[in-house]
Amino acid sequence: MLRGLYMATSGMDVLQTCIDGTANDIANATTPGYKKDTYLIRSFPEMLMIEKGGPQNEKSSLPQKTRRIGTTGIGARLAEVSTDFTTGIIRETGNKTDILLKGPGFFAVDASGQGEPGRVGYTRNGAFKIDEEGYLTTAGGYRVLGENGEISLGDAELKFDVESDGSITVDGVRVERLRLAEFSSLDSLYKESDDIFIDRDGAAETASATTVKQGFLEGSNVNLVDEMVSLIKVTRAYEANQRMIQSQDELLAKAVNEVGSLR
Amino acid sequence: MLKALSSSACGLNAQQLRVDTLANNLSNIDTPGYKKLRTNFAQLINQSVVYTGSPGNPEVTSGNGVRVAQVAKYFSPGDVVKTGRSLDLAINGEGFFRVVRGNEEYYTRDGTFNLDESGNLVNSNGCVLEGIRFSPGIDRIMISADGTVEAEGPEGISASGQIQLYQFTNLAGLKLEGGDLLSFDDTAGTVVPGIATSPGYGTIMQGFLEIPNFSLVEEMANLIEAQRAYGFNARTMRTADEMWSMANNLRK
Repeated sequence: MLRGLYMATSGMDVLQTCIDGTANDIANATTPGYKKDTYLIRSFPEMLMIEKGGPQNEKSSLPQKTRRIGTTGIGARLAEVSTDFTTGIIRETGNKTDILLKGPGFFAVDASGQGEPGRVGYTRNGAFKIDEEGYLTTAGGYRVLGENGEISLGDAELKFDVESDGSITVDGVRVERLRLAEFSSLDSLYKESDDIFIDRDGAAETASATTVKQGFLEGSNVNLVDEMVSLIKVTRAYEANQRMIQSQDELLAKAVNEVGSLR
Repeated sequence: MLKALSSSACGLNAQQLRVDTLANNLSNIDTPGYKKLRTNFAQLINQSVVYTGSPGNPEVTSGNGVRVAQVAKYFSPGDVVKTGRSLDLAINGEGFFRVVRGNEEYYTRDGTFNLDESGNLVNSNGCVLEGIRFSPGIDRIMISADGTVEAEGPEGISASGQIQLYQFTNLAGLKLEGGDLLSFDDTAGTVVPGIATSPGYGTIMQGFLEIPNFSLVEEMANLIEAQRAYGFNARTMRTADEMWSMANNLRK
């Protein structure tokens, strides 16, 4: 009896985490280069149920052996959160510091900090800006990396051009080239804050199929209609689990109060 | 549950700030030399969703909403329109005017000037364009592309000074003041004065004004997007609230 109570509780717990994820996706529906999360729910490993000491076999005076009667689940758990890397909506902004990635690649940024100098992060959020010290940075404040390190543009905000291969020119003079990376498997990318991904397995390769376009931005790949459907789905499933708990509660109440009552 | 509530609250705040910024841009649609502001968003920190002591993969993480990473000013040039007024000046290039008010100095691209009683050129904020002075009783003011100012009066044509333009080693070091004035402190970069028509500074165009560097259509599209995104976040918040209420009503 109590097992059912805990199964429904685990369902409510998991659905709560899902709604947290949906809320996060919706909050980032307008963050450039944001990649949505997909939640994978699995059931706990099933348990074998065995009946012991069942009805006596009429032909034998010995008690019947234990008997397998099948398996049962014991609730749900969150197995995995995977990032959906499909490309978001592309739009023109006309700003020189907005750069779009065409292809599967990522911009490399300097994500050092917490005692890890030289740590490289990867992002598809191309809404860059020149910071107060004249370096090209992401909106979150990470400096964008070129082939020779950080990219210093100084006052060239209005003068620099980015060619499709990532070369940066100021007044027609080539100064640097954006460091672009591609991954044969995106599984090694670990999502951090500020739209930065960390490459945990060192799987980054120099980009070969990615070009860039200045003055355009990739939006978030969150589809708000899908998110609304998921909100409804999750709420209803949550409600069903809540009803289950209430039914279990009523059954328990009957067992406690009515079984053995002389009334 | 609290996380869904706070994520959607972040979303509401961020979109609200975006609408505020768009409103500021739109209200300046007639301000000469105005440069657009943009809010740039970034995702908030990712956290493990598996609590200590519970089974599951601790590397399963989810984000905590969104933050406004910066409100940035974009200095791309706006279009130049003809006004025909002799004290409307547009800079066709990247330089800035320097104006002073008392001891404070500001930089601006707003070239709407007027002549005050003492013969100075002042803009709509009461700031004076330094180095230019006219004697009383002049009929006509002529400003050439390199900033040389001449006045035609009863005694003939007389020189009245030259307008200097300024550039910065780093535009991001400029701070926004009211009335589309920018101020500068030397924590970031240096100011480089120069003469109009020299490379990089641009030319001065008399009788023209620079209009803001955003388009109305672009702002309206952004406004619609911000409003809808606000609605979706509000909806998430309501759903989180309903689910919380279900949990509270578990025991009738």
